[in-house]
Amino acid sequence: MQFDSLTFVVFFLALMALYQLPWSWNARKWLLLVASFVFYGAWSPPFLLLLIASASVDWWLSLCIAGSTSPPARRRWLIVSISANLGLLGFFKYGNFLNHNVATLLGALGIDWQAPSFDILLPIGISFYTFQSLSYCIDVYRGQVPVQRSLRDYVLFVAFFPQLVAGPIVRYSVFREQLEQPRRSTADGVFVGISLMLIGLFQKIVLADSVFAPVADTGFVIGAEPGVALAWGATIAFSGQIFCDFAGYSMCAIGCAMMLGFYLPDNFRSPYAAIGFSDFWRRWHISLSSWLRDYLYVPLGGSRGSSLFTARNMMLTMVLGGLWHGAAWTFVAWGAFHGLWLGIERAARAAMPNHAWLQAAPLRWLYGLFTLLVVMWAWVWFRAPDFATASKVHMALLGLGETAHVAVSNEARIAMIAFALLWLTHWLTRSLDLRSALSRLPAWCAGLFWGLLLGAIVLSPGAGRAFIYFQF
Amino acid sequence: MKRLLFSALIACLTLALTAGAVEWHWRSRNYLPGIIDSQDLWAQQRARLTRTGKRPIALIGASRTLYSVDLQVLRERLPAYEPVMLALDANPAMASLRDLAADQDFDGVVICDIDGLGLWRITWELQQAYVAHYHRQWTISRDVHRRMLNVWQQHALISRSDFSLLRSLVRWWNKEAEPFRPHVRLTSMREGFIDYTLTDTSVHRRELEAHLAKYGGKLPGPVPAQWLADLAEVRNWVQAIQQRGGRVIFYATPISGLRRQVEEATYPRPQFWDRLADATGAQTLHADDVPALRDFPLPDESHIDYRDKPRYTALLIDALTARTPL
Repeated sequence: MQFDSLTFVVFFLALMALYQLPWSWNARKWLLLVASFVFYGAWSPPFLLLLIASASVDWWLSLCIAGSTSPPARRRWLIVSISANLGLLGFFKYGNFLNHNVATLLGALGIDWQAPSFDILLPIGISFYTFQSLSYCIDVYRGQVPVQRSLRDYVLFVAFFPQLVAGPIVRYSVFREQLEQPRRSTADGVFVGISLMLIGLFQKIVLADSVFAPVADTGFVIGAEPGVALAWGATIAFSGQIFCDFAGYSMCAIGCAMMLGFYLPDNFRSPYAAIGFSDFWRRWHISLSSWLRDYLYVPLGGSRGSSLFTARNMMLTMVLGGLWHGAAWTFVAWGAFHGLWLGIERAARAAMPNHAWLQAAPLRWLYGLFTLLVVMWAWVWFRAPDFATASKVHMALLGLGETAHVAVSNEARIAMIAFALLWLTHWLTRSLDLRSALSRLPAWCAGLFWGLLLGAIVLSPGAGRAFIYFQF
Repeated sequence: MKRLLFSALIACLTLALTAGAVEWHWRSRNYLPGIIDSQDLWAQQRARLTRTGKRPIALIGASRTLYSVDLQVLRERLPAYEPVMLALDANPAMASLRDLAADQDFDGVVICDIDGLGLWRITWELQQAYVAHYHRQWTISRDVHRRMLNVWQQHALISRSDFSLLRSLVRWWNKEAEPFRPHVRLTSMREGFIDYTLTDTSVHRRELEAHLAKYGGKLPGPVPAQWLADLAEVRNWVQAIQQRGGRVIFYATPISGLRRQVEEATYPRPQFWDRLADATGAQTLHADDVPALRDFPLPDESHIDYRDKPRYTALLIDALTARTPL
């Protein structure tokens, strides 16, 4: 079920009505669990069983980890959990990718091997819920969280519908208390929740699908030769689309949870106003970047070693982070490129003494602009269907494409203006606590704001594209 | 709570004013709401095919079926059957036929509107995107969404993307004319209607002439032997449906004027259509073999005005049942 579907409107209104009934907290947790199953099962009932099975296995393995007294036994159970989760992800997400690459490699060695092609449908949200479940098992192993003995509560943690299919990836340490302490919808929570949901839907339906996506699509056609204007238009539009699509989903998820009395952590904080690449990753898909930091980068050794060792860890983390997004080498290139810039930035910071002039506003702004341009350059790999297309777009961005200059369409101009406004908004709200700001809005102002957002949403009928991150 | 309710009230008023003003503006300019075809709407009908409770008649093909067959007449004349409209504007039906052959639950009748071009292999995949959407994307959630969207589209003009904020802005910026006034409409069951009093029929003729001119007056066509050889695969599909107790009827719809000349020149009947039944094992019906169908009025040389649909459908049923009772 998508947040931007009429099905969801009916589902959520019915759930909110039932949730307000004077039931016990236990009964309401059952209600949330059933609602989460309906939310996911409305997409694919068989894959709902996979979700339940995956969560149940991790719940049982966490009990085994907690119940083992010897460190080797605990480690063995953890390895089983990691293998089960990554195996599941590997089968559904990377099976064909692996087959294809092995066949190519063998072909290069002169061995003719036809890779079996599996028609595997990717279960929506599998990358998100396996990471969420995996982090719980690792936290139990590390002794950072107590084991959850209720299967119902654990499955609810994994399957809680607002964050189930596209995050934020919630840690058990954040959710545990919310499972134990009864939650209720409050007027303030609903007030802010509605605001967040409407902002999220506006970002998705009006900006991502209506303004940005059609322009982005024109520049990334296999075999096409985009000119400078088209390449820039498409790259800028995709930069807007990917943010509005994903941040829109996260905003809806957070708002939806707030209306039910739950707290989900922020996933985006004005990322296009980032000053530097490490700052970008503290602002973009925060729940994934912090997951990768805590469960991959730090265990690899983090920055506890030589500069080269740190750079290696950073590159490995970013490459695997890229691969998490999709089973294609273009995603690996995207991750590696970010890893490279993170390494360069780190080296530059170590080499340069901390002069006051480095903190001067114009310089910071210029570095922010440079960061944005590099991030946009990297989005080309993320969006392009293959390296050949990415290469053509990159060449065209530099004015080295084979097609002469073509006039920019007014649709592309609108997308560029919208992106400029988005960028400005990010700078203006760089340090803003959005939830707190929304909660302070006067009633008339909030009403007008909601009405205008709703009006724009209703007046933007379109193709109803799926959220981009559903495919990850 | 008072603050929340007051905000909600202001929001509803603002929404009603903004959306209502746009709706009123376009309605005052004589636009009407209507169902918009989509992969979801097609999938909704495809899903109905094996759940009708009656023996289904799958109507596959292109616009000549979509806008010409009257579903109500079919229901009345053939009460043991339930017609399901799967024809798609401008897309020949072979991918849909292949899909029905692979569906073990389908044992109904397929009426497939087709011509020489539609049977040429290069056009076989044109409906595949819809078939793939049904098999990979169609969900209960989409079904519920589409049902509600049908109601919204039937009543709200602003559900049409031509009237969206962005399109209006672009139209104003480009100094474009007002949105196209459609002369076709669709129901939620995907039954189409063309009103030829609202359109200039010579436009279609000019489009065909321009298309012909691009190819020097003669459209490219397949080599008959290759065309026939490719139909071996179609024979397997037909057999698969027949083995489950179903039937496949290939139907060449009436055409006239220049369109007829082009069809006859590109796909001479003795080399193509007349060999179709033997090549595929399916029943065939050519409109030329039924005088009432052959001479049916066709305002644009290939389609039927919605007022003539009931009579045309009745003639089609008569012609089909005269050959083999349904």
